[in-house]
Amino acid sequence: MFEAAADALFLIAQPDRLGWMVLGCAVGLVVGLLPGLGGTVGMSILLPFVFGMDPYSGVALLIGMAAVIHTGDTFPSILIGVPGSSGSQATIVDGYPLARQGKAAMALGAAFFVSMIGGLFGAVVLFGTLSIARPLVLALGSPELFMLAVFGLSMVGILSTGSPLAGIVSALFGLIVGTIGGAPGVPVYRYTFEWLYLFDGIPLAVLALGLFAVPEMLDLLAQRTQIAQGAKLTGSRLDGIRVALRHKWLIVRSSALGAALGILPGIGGSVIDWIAYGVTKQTVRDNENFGKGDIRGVIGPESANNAKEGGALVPTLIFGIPGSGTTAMLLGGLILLGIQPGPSMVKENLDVTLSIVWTLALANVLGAAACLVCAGWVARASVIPATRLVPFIFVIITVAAYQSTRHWGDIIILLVIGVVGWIMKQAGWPRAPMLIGFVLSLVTERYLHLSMSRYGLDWLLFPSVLAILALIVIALVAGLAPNRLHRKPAGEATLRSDP
Amino acid sequence: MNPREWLRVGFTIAVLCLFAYAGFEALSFSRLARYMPLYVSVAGAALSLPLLLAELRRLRAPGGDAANRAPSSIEEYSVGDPLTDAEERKRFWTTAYYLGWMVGYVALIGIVSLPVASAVFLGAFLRLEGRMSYPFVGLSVAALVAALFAVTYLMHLRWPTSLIGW
Amino acid sequence: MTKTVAMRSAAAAMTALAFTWIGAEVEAQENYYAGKDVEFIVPYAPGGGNDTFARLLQSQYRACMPEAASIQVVNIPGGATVIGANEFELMREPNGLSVLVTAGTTSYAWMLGQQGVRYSPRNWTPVLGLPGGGVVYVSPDTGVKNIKDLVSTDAELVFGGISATGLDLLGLLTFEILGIETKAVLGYEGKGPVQIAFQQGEINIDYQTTPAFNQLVRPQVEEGTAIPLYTAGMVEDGQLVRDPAFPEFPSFLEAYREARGSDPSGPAWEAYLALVSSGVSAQRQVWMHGDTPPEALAAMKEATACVVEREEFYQQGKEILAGYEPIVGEPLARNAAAMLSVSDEVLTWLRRYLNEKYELELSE
Repeated sequence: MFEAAADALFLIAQPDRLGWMVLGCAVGLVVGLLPGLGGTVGMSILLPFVFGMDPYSGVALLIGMAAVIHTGDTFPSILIGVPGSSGSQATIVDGYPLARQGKAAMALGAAFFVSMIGGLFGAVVLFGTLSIARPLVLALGSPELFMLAVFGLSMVGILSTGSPLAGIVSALFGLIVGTIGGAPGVPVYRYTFEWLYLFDGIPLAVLALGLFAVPEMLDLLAQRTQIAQGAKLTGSRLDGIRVALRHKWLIVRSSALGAALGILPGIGGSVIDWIAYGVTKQTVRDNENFGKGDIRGVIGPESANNAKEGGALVPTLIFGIPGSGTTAMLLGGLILLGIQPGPSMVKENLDVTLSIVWTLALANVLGAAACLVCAGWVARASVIPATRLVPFIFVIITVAAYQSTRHWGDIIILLVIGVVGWIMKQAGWPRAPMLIGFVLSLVTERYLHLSMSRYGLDWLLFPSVLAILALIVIALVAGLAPNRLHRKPAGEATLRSDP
Repeated sequence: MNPREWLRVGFTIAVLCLFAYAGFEALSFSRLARYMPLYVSVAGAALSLPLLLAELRRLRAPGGDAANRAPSSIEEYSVGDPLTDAEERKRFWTTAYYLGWMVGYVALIGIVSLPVASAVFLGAFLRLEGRMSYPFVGLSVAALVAALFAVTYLMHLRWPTSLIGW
Repeated sequence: MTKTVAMRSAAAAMTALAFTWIGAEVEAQENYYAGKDVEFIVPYAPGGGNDTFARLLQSQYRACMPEAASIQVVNIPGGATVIGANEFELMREPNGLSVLVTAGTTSYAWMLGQQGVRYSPRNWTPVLGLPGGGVVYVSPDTGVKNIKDLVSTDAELVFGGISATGLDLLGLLTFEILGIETKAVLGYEGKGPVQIAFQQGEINIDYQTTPAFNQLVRPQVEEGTAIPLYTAGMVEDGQLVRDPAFPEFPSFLEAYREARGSDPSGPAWEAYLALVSSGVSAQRQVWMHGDTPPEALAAMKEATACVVEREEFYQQGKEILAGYEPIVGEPLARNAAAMLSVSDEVLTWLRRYLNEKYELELSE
């Protein structure tokens, strides 16, 4: 295996293939940087070019792009509080407050550094689990996947400790908004008002932009301020890396979590960063400052969202089953390159698989380095007055939102959700739980439906189901109880993470 | 009572109504498509009712603004003193004003197409709100429109359809 | 007076100008598509089989239509292809610049009168079709080894699928015609997850299309963990024949004969034949509006003829074509006619069957 890996490195290290990888990285970073555009857009840009390429070059191009989406998307998440792609929603929660405190460069430095580590971790996981992941994936049937969706929903309890009831209602609100459109298994379209746009439900990018970007822009304008409230920047990229290094176990933990969850098909990438955030908040000491600018709230999800790409490739490659929109398109791309994903990827096509691993690793380093170089410069965007910055962002997110389905509904819903999001923000309703509910709505319904129609009620007593249930209970209890008992004076956590 | 209180109570009522509507509507779906929206809306309605009661109780309880502020651990990161009622009201209307800008921009896209609307919106906003000097406004608008065309071409993006058909 | 003269001469000049301009246009426009943007509408999200097929076509048509300014794939997913097909029919001009790439599901949604369908393939003209069959296979855990065991087994047969109104309907109908009881677990995200569920033992009988069967199920057949039973077959001149991609497997008709000793008949069988013509014999189809200008249609057909001649089409599309020959021209038109002429009686039976058995609410 290791000899084959060395051979694959040689395959990838050809100048033209490296060139393709760099091109892929560039596209990935730009697409990630633009709020609302994610991996599927990147893939649709690149797919027309892969025809007739040799497989290794094509893989270098596509994987180079996919690997760095979650590196580039950190910029808007931290700097303007707008999710750069659906995988970086949780970064906003602590990253944006840091930018508001003028610590954007520090937060970005930490985020890019841990993105790189997470990405490398994901590549290692991909390499290490390719031959053993099969039983893991096969152990998870519909009941287990349903329980994992419930685990995701239980993050709501952790994310809304301030007012748990509002958090739960907000999540239920998200769940009901998520049921708009088709039901799993039957051709019934719900809450569509016979408007064809709603038959496919509200696109996640539109909902996320509406919920977070529009309210933030309105408030920035109304406060007549710039993002960094003191209008001055403190902390540098190197400080960020130094802070991140102090939390190395957190990086490893979150990367492992991201990669492991990425391997599971059916849960979907956009909830992994929330789970990573919730688990981070649960498992660290002194978490009162989470949500107010704790750097650990950036490190957790950012390690996980890059690591998950490596994990997500496992089911894509060995089962031919994509775990996300990006991997779905990658699958199409591989078929266009003449590679049929499936069990053969660890046998006849092992060299292609290993070149994917290498590309993933190299692209993560390259992407993080490029972002680190630019970070100090881009961080200055946070001192531009809102009245000069916001109109640009609004044009960008309008165009980006429209790319979701290329229907006017995208823009109309963006504004409607934007108003709802603004009211929620003003009224002190937590918005993150709504997003989690929305993301998990279809998954929850699908696997509950499948479990019930396959096993009746018997699945409730499956040992694996009970095990995940126990995990959920432990996570909730362990997370909520000690914080109540050992409340530290406010501000200590920030001090710990400040250099 | 400041606008935030109104918003909070009003929004809770709206959410309650929405759950009620969703639950009622769910009854008309076929059995397999019904249970998820039905149970979620019943739970949502059942939980938003106590939330509403709690808020109404808090409204009637004596105490300053700061005491009344809704707790929200993950989104309250604004530093500085709490605003007075008058300031809150002013901010509320300022926000509505800026929302008007956004709606206007979107309407303009529908009428005169994306590049024209973006140029007009950006130019007007930077000049009137951003107090930028004309040369910088011109430069910004030119840069934005150029970027729009470049990005559209390179990424095969689509522009919203408009009345003039671009 | 002067005014009129001035106006008249201005009008004359403008007419002359207009004529020169039109003349120039006509000269440049030997081909209808010269300088125009063509879009291939895919009613699926990017990445699936249909999208991959459309992207293959995109690259091939680009080579065969060099005069077109651009050829793009536009994904309009949602509502089990209904949204994209509606958009094609209602929002796109019949000017030949938009073509629709469908899979069987689009025809099925129309035949079943699904919610939201505002299109009709009767208003369209097919220009290219690609057959795509599939195989019904079973897990050895059920004790079933061949078709005779299947009709006599006591084991609980669990079939997995996406929706009873999509391609899974083919598999479900074969069970109905054979008269066997299966538990249908519907609602999986795709046929890939269904295959995983099969390996897990969550389901034990499944229908997979040819590329997926070759890629995922064949290794299991060799291992002995999956047993192929029959293919859906192909309709040729009203007869169900063997699938050319699987000459070694019996078609459903042969399997039925072996199991029951007679030929199938009745509305279920009629419905099955109609579904096979629209979802298997031409599983993937490229459509244009029926009222497309003739010169556009002619140019597109010419380009299509060029595409199916290209060696690269078969080389680069090896996995997607899965060994099937694309159909064009007369055979394609005949197949479409067979699919569109399905009788109301059969459709009513089909809708009633789905409503009763799978708790749907299709209008009968």
